Amino acid sequence: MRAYLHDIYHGIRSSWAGLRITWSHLFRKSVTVHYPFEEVKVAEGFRGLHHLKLDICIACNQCANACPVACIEQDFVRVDKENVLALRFSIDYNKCLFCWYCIPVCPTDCITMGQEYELSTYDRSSLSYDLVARAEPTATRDMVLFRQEFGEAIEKLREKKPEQAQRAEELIDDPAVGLCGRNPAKEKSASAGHAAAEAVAT
Amino acid sequence: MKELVLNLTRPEGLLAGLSTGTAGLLVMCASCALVLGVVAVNGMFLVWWERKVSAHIQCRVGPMTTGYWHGWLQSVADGVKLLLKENIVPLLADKWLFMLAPVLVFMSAFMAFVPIPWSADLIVADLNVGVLYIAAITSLSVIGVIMAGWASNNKWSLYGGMRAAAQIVSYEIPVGLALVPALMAAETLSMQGIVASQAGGIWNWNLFAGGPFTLIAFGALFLGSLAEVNRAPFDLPEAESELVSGFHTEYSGMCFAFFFLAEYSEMFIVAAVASVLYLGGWHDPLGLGLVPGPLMLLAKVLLLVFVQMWFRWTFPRLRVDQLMFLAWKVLTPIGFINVFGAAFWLLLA
Repeated sequence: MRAYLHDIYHGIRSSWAGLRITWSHLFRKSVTVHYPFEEVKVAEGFRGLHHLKLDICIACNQCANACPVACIEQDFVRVDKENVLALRFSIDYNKCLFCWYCIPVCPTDCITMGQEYELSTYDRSSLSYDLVARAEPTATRDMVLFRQEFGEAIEKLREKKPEQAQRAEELIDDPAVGLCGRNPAKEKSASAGHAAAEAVAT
Repeated sequence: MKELVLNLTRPEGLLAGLSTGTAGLLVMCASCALVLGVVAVNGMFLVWWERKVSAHIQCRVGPMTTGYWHGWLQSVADGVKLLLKENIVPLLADKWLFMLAPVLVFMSAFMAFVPIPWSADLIVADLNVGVLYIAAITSLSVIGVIMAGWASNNKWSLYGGMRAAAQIVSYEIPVGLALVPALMAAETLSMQGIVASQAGGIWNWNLFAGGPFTLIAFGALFLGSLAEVNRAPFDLPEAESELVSGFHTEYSGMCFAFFFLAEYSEMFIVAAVASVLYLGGWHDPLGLGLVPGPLMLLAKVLLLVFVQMWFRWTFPRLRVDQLMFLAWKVLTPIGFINVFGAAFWLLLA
């Protein structure tokens, strides 16, 4: 009988304790983020989309070698001993597993991972990002100068290695590569780069 | 009802010229439509409210987008979706029983609205056996639940139906015993009569009529009614985690909506019965009569419904044996003690 009454007492007491806890939670601030309307803050070391500082990239291809799924493709043309012309640095996010292996191998720390995580698209083909097109604005501007300067370099290259020079010129004229990016915000600089390339050609 | 029909068919009345039979039929149809409207609106509101309460208890916000203000149109959107969905009947199900079960469950919830008094005049029918009628009609829903479990031809659904049966035989007795002290205090079974006996402020409510005994009876009634409407922590017939929502696993579209609507209507009904029996019905706590009766009753009902939701999102589900223990070994003896204690208290007071 005593145990029975104790059970009832204990049941009521613990129920009341539970009700008090949920009551206190009822008026607390919600911890969820209203996602499409609010931004989800990511941690500092978050592995989002890659960023490339094109002006310090030396086109060593180390990142592409380190990539376990071979999603990085570089298309660079060496113009002379010190300088290379970056035409394409694409990462296929269909394959990329965000493992971060490409980051520590870079000798100049030109490739980093950023905070962007919204990758959904209507088409798989648009998941292949060209980092030359997406490169930071200063770097892109440098690229324009870079191309202007190397118009002459290409001419020099034509004497030594005519095949490579021919390829560089073709790629520079091809609107699908180089600065002709997928990011609409960069289209202005991209067309500027293309105009510069045309100026070089003439 | 009779006076209303006679009033309406008088020469200057709204339905002048019609025979009392036709007018009565019209009035019946109108009150049916009214009750159906209350059931539907109440169901949609309570679904939205429950989602909000559960969300805030879990530090979430719940639906926010539909209808711009805190997702208030969410239930309407859900209702439209359920109406448009295909009603799938499993191949090996007992087709007739399968279709009949949700109707039966909904019907019992719908009919229980009849003797709820909203104010001195606003009541569909003031039956002289009102409380008995409600106790009988709300128990009817379990037949629909068992029918649904059986007709689905699914072992989980059948388990749900069996559990509902076991639960209802355990809980009808404590609930019935918990009704008795209020009836003794009011000396009538008519819902309107019970409300009338509690006029004049909170100290006249049946909650305090029998000293501690009616207080405990009110608590027992509340707990028992939770089990009667299959709400957590007594939601054994549904038990999502064990029985994949039990008796209504196989239901889709409007048939499922009927079960859903019936559950929320029954929540409303048991809260309304508890308010009428113990909390003074449509009388306000101060006995001033300033607040309209329907609003006062609604406030009390919504308070009790909120407590039901609070319980649901606090307690884990009981095991079957724990439920039986609570019903047969705790609430039933307490119910008997309450009946006799309240009887003596009322005699001596």
